[in-house]
Amino acid sequence: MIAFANTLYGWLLLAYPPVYRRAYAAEMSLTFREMNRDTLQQDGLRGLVVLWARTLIDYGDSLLTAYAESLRERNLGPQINALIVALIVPGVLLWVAAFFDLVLDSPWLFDNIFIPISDSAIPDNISYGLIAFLMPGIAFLLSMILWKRNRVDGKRAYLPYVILGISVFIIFATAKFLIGENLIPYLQETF
Amino acid sequence: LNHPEELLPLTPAVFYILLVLADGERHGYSIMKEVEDHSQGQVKMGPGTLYGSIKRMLTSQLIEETEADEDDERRRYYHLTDFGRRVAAAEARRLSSLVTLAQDKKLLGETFALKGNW
Repeated sequence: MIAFANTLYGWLLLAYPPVYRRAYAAEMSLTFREMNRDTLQQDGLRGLVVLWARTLIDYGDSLLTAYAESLRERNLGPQINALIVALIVPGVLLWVAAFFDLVLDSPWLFDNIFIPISDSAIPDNISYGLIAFLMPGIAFLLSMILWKRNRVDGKRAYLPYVILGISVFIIFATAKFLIGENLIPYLQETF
Repeated sequence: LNHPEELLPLTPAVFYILLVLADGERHGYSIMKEVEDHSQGQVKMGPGTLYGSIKRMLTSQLIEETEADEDDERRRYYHLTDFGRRVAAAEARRLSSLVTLAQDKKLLGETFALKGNW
């Protein structure tokens, strides 16, 4: 079981930015092995489970920090902001369109913006899945990284919080709508 | 190099690492264990936090890497730089002045008992 945990941690380390991974992954892996060995000797299996849970949280936090620092070192902040906006705009537009169509009975946005998507070679459920889940999901991750970068720099910036809020809204609202009203069949009927 | 005060306040992880390295060079896992001991288990760093802090401290020239272990090339040792020592001293002075302030306010050495006064 410990061997599996060590291997799994080794795989997880592959997700760090390349420069960071080359510099520290081998040492981190070695440290994790030693932590497992000592924890098993001192605290047994229960201690190991606690250690793994703690290491997983530490992993997620440090992964975001590593990417945040990597962005700062490469001065990519403005490009990432633009990418986030580009990813999130279609999701926002989809919900604005749904609001206008359902509440105000005005399907202009659907007719003019979303029908071309529907007419494209990509199937509806894939294109709307991208707009409603995947793109806001990536925007969410990127804004987490920006938020982390601001924390590391000690800066105050509100854009990451706004993006986080919008991304979560799009993802959860769409998920709820899909369960409650079945959005995709509704969209397909509309077109 | 920056003036030591420019890097203050330090995060608890960075300050503990500096304190551990004030005794001499250590490798990553040894730093981690000593930090846990010194903090009576209150600061438990995972590998991600430890090496993230080490990376930033290397960049800020608070610490330096010594030669890799001959037995295991993956194991690297770190030691405090003169600048790192001055930063640690500056942080210690900052914290000491805070403790003095707390003493002046009679917040230390008193027993606070939470009694149902509401």
